Amino acid sequence: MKNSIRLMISAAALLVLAARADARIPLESFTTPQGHAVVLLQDKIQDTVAIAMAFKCGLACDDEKSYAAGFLAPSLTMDGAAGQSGSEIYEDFMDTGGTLNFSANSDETYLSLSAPSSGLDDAVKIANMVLTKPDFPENKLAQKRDRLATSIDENRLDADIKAQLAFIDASVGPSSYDHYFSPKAEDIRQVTTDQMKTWLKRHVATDGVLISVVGNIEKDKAGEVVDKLLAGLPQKSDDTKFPELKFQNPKPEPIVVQGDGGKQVVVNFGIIGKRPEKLEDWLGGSMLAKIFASGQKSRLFAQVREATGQTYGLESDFNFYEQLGMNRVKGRLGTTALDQSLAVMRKAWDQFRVEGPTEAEIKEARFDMFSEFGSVLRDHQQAAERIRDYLTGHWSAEELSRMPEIISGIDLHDKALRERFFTENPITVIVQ
Amino acid sequence: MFGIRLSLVLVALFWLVLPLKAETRILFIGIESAGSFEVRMWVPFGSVSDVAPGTAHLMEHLKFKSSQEKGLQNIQAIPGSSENAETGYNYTRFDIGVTSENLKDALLALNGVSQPLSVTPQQLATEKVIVTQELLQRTTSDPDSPKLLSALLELYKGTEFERRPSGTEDSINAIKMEDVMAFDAAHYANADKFLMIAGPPIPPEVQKQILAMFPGAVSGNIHVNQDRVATRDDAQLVPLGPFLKSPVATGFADERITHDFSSNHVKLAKLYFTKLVEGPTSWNNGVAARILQEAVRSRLPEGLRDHIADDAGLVQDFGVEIAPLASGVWQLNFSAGLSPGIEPDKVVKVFEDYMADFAKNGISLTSLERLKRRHFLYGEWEDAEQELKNLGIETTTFGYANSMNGRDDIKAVTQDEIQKLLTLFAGPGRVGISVLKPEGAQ
Repeated sequence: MKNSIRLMISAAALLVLAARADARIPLESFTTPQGHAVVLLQDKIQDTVAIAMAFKCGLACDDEKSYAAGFLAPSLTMDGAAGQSGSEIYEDFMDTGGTLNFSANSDETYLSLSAPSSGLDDAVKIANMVLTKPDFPENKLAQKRDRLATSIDENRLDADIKAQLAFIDASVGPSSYDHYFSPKAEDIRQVTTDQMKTWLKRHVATDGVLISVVGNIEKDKAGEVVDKLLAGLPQKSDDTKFPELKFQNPKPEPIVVQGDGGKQVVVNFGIIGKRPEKLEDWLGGSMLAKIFASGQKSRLFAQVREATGQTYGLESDFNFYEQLGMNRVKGRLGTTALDQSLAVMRKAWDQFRVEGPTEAEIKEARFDMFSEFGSVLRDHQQAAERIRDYLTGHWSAEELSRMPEIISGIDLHDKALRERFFTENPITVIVQ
Repeated sequence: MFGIRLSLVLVALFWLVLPLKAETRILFIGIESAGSFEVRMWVPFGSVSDVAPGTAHLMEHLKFKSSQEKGLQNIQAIPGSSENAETGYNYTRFDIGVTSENLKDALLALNGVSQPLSVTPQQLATEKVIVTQELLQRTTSDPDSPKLLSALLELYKGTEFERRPSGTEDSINAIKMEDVMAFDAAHYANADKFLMIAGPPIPPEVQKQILAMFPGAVSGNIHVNQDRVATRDDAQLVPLGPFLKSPVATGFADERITHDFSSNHVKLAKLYFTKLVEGPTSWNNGVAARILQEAVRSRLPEGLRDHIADDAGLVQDFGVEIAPLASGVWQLNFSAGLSPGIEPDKVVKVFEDYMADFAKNGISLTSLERLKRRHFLYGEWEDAEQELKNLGIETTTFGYANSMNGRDDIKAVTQDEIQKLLTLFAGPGRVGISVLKPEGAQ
């Protein structure tokens, strides 16, 4: 009997539950004694706990002078704090068995901590120390500045990065998202420790922080560790806002960017748009994108291979930020019969837009969604991060609990849904 | 034309007279909380069996096109299925992910690789183009990779590793229908198979039914504890690797092969150091090597990071890997980004001095115990080694011991075992040093 109960509450069983339209993911919302809102998923199949947080706003909210510090501050927090050296902190943290990831992207600043239950308190204590009492060592900063600036210079030579920048530029032109997608090496080289401390205070503040906790932990204990993790952080961040993006109509003809002139070109193909407000639209768009171009079973890949054979990799990138969203196919095409391959891609896009997916494709997409969902939920860290990511979409725990029902009920034949993510004029970028 | 016909006749005759003595070994990995199956099958041949370079890899693709009634080409139509494959030097691996209700289809499809290949000339031509695109994709993803690969292949000269497993554009273009048919008859027709079926525990009576699909097959079972992370990806944590004989790669002379390359894709010079040494490889020293690798990488007192930064100047993003290349051969890799003004020779000397000092002083018991304790935090697999031995599967080659981190295996690692490895790496061996510099740099 105990085993049965255990199975029922295990995240593994969620896969089975998730396949049922009336199933609910047992997410629980509560507020900690210190007033932080938390979404909790209890799961006892592994004796670990994962905490994922999104501090409101990332590099897209920074101005030209401050964004560069955001590339360095998160990765340097473990290199010195409260008078302890990086080696001491690193050693102590490793002994907890935990992992700590801290980074900034365009829209949010992310913190993700996971640890075995036995090491959780110690891991949280160390994480809090590095967040609240950073001592960024000058020599490490100099090293990291140089390394990062060099890698940014190298990235500018990378054909995939060139394609992505041209793809974004075609639709929105220069924007604050360039801080994230196209940082300047010279800005990185000028960052100081004071700028990093200022950046941390501005971004890592408890106002509006989104928190998920997954694992073998009771609600009271979850509240306690979240409060300990956030203790001493500023309560109010600056009034940070995303600058308004100005979308422009992309040109219909392919944008050609100079590359190395090899026997393959890098291609980016798709649309840029705003993030959907409804969870079902986001999920529906994601499923359509997968049907169209995700993996070797996708119709786009099959059609290009059938027609010219001139590809080994075309992948869907369905990625929506606070304001900027992409339903993009990226990959490589052989230069032989390139025009024909591009024509096949465009025809496949138009056909999908008009005709939509088949019943078999829809069945497969739903299955994949449940399967992926179940797989993610079995890993505490992945699950915490995924729930946190959904929270950044401004969707509530109640809505997220109903995801199995939503996934089962989405009408993927809906023309309006399809036309939203597969517009008439996709952007084509080629780096050759 | 006559040549092709004759080849096809010979192939057909070969099929008719072939003795059916293929062996199949099946390892069932029962994962309590798994929701679907990941089936992996290894056949014990790969690129070293190529007559025409690239044939084994092309065959791996063609097996997904071959028009058998129950073959790999049917897998894509199964909802929720996934498939992948890989061709190595001495093995070819097929992976299929399916739900419980489609497990039988997956097994039939995998068993079907031994049926005669049946593809049209057009399918062969198309697949050659696709395989070429796969080759090119690797090059366009990292434009410097051909240079570094050529240096590595030179280091392997005189062994079965010196030829690229995937062939070259020219060699792939030159492959003919008779080449693939001959390869099929010589290898796939009577292939030994090793299957790993990871997923929800399969009852004994169902296991019997599965065994009946592969006449003469033997099987073993590994049970995965409930409190361990158990996902579909678990199967991928078990890189059993080549399960029969690894290529024999011996006779590495004590020499240094250096290359200086320039690249317009890097802004920072990069150093790649590889050392090949001959020495015994076993399950236990595979685990010991894993711990040694962490000791070299980490910031423990013996750790390389601070040492090299202090003695050689600013070195960035360095990496260390210690693993068997094959039975009886170890490979030590060290790579680093070099800041402007840092001499590669100096960094190599600091690294080699560091390894020599480490070999001289050994690892302290405190550090070893600390490293072991960290490894204990990961999951354990019970009885895995014994079960594999029962199946006659060689566990002394690469991959397996590196990933399993069995509690008892980790406990068993001694200072002496670490010392033996350190002594091995500090001794003679074939060293390759490649430096990739930004174009125009001195």
